[in-house]
Amino acid sequence: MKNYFFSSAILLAGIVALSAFRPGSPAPHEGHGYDIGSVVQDVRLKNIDGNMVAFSDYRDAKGLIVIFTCNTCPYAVAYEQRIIDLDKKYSSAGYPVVAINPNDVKRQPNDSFEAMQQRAKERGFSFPYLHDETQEVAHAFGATRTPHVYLLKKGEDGKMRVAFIGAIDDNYDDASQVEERFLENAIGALEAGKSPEPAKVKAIGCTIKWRES
Amino acid sequence: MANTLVFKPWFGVFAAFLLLFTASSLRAQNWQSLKMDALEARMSKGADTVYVVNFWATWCAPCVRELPHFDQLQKSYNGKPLKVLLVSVDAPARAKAALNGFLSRREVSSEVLHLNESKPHEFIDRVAPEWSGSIPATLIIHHKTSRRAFHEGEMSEAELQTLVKTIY
Repeated sequence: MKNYFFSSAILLAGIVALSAFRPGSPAPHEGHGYDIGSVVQDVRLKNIDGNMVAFSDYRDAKGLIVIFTCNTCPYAVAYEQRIIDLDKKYSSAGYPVVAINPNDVKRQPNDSFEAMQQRAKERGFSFPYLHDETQEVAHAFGATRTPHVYLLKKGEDGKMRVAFIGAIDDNYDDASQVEERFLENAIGALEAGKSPEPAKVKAIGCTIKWRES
Repeated sequence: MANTLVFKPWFGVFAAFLLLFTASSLRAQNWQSLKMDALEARMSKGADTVYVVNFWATWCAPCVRELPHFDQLQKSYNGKPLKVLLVSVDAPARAKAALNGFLSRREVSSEVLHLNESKPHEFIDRVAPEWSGSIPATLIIHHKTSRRAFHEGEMSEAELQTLVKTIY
């Protein structure tokens, strides 16, 4: 019994020491995950309609606009209408929007599957809104915030590669004051057979709510 | 009727006290708005000083949760060359109302600034190249030794103190 307490105490001390030593943080940061040109592994996640959606389902698409977003971050909410408009404009041009919510439901209950369904219904999302429950997809991409955009281009080999990472445009607060449309310019470059320039643009956002490990 | 409008000496004293109280309670709420150029200049003032610069917003729950840790940090380095700057990135169009409202409800003792920039992609790299852009984010910088540390995401008080010790 004494021994048991002793080893528990050591274990507890170890946990405390480890958790106090977190400034390095286990969460991914810039430079981890996919980079420009990376081949994207197929993704299969549950959509708000209950069906599974995979990137490989998009057989006729030229690419995908993958957006890590959520219900709760004001930056994400500020971009909602613009994301809806992007899908309307580019879905028929071969670049449909796929939205992915990576937030841990325990840390952010308003990002639950049911809350996602409700939000999509209220706002009339015309695109899949997928639940990355295990956060594996966000980790693979190296997403750090919401919203965080990845423009994928399908190559002649049928593989999806990352062509652009980052910001939709240069003004999250006021769509009418936007001067540079980074994502749309990147799609324009791909359509013209060029590489997007810039290929990466940073944007401000909310930290993805990672699971407590 | 006219009688009630007659000046009474006690009223003057009362008004003076009222003014004094309002002024002292407002002192904690003062904040300055600045551009990125001015923030950079501010962070390089006084080579001896270690600057702990936290980027936050009034609506950001994890940011607001960690604000007291920064106040505590500033207090624990009392008299030492360490300066906490709490830089709000609230949208410029709404910053005045948001910050005034927030600071009237919450007691924040560290210096509050507002970054008056509407194009995040233009200031994120200038703050820290390793910053992906999410808040909260904290930069610790010491010009004298050219040492710096950067952390993206919420910190506990112990984590913040540990991180500061790597620079101070």
